[in-house]
Amino acid sequence: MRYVVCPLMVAFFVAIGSCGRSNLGKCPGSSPLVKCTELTADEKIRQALDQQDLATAQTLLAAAIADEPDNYERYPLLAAVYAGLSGFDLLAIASASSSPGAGGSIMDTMDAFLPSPEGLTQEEFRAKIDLMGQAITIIEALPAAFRATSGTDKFAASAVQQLGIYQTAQASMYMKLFTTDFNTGLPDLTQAANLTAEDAAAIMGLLANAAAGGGAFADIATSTLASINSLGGTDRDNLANFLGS
Amino acid sequence: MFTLFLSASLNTFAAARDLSPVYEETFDIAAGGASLTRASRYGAAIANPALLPFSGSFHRWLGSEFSLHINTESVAMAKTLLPGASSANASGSSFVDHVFQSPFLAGTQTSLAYLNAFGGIGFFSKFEVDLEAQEYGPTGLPTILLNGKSYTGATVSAATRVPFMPLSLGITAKYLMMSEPAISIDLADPNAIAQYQDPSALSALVNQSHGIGYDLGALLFIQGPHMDWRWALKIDDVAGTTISGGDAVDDFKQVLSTGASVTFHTGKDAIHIAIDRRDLQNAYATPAFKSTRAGVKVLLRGYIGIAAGYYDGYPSYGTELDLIFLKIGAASYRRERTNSPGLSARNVYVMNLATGF
Repeated sequence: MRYVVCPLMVAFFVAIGSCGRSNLGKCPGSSPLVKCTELTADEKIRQALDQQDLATAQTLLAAAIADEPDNYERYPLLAAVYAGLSGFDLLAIASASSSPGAGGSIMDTMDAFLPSPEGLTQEEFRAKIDLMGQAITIIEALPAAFRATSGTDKFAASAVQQLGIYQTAQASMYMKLFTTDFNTGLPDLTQAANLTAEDAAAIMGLLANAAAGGGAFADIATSTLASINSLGGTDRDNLANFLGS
Repeated sequence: MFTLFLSASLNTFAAARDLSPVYEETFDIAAGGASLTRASRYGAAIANPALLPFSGSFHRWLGSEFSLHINTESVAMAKTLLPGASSANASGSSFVDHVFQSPFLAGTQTSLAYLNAFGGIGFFSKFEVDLEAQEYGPTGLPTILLNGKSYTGATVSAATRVPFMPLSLGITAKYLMMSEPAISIDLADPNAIAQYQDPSALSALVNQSHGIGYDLGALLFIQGPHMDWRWALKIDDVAGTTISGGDAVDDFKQVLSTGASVTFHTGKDAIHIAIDRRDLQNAYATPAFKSTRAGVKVLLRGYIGIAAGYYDGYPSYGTELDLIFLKIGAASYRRERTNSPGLSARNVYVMNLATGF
């Protein structure tokens, strides 16, 4: 009997040991007994997000939203992906929420989350600002009920949070454009003189929206606006003075 | 300092039901969970009560068991949670940092049971918590996902052989008290997460639901001098088990499963090769890699057991030492939390201690 049992036993354990850590159900299938299981579109998106493969996640999410524009749970994900592609460090928010002394100016606060302009051209940094703008656009495309603290959708309050975060982040990134010498990559407050009225309006608009939205950064957006407006001139002059000080 | 308010984005919801058993023996897990045709100790009453008459003697098991489940990535962290560990390492922020690096899974399972060839009674408790952090959570923001399982129950089993036929039938009635909290927390709050390190905090998080259900089993057992064949049919939760009271928990659906095995044996050695196919009517839309369970148990001289198999589509293995009144077991397996292979797997170590005979 042992001549039958022993080879069977050895063969089975060798088979188990040689199969590594892969799942039998993965496609393409590796077992005649187990039909392989294809990932759904949302599962592929989740896989890409967990692997920090933001480019793939962006492609998959954009396609999924185009296929099912009424599936609003994907919008905040795509917004987060755009924010991530812009260099925004979402994870830093988690630690910042519990680290005392994270206050200070808006740019001091946001520096922990935002990409540094160091080593980038002005055009490259503007591209990152545009990506953050895409994140805002995606959240704003949600129906009102899906981005409201009183909304019935379970993700609505989070969408409000995201919108405020991204608006404040984009405002802060805009400000970096006028406090950085992109030739040297170093802080240079004299760059504030290059601020145009159009840029000033964009920054003030973002701060006003963030302050009014009641999101996570509403307080700092409100206090920043108050500091800027207290200077008493035009938006452009007030902001230039604020950035240059 | 700005404050990220969490209260608006903390969601509690019921976890989706799947085929995970409410109680499973360590050695059976090691053998891929293919337990319909052979199960260890109290696991027989849960896996298939029709196994009871074929134990070879009137008495089958009287004793208690304890097992500890922990994912391999969290062994070091778990040590810091033990009484007497350094409080610096066990701080909430350190725990959250760990969860952002890799998931945390820990659980315990205990039982006290008496079983003989005609039935028995048993009590069990199972608790498990799984924490996972996602930088891009379901809402787009960093999220901590907490899934808990708390099952406490009692079973009464009855079984009999059908006269003049190599067939046995069995029934297990079960009373369950359970909760399955599933919580997502946007933007990690170390203080909030730290409280979930304490199992009692999670138990208090949701109210227990309860229900009574029945499992039926049949076993065809063709015995030879050196080779046995077994074929099993099992109906879990006949007509469905309604879970009521407490927080919302899904009911258990009726599940039909079958299993087959062959055992080669001598006087004291045996090799048992088994395959189960669970959820034949696809009540839970279970993919094949989760509904197919296969494995082998090798029993040497009656006191050493080695097992290997496929559990949730991943290799599993383990061993057990039978010291008459004390049984010590260990197993390693991977569990897939979702119905998608490779999406959210947990590498789990199990250690088991049983006292009884």
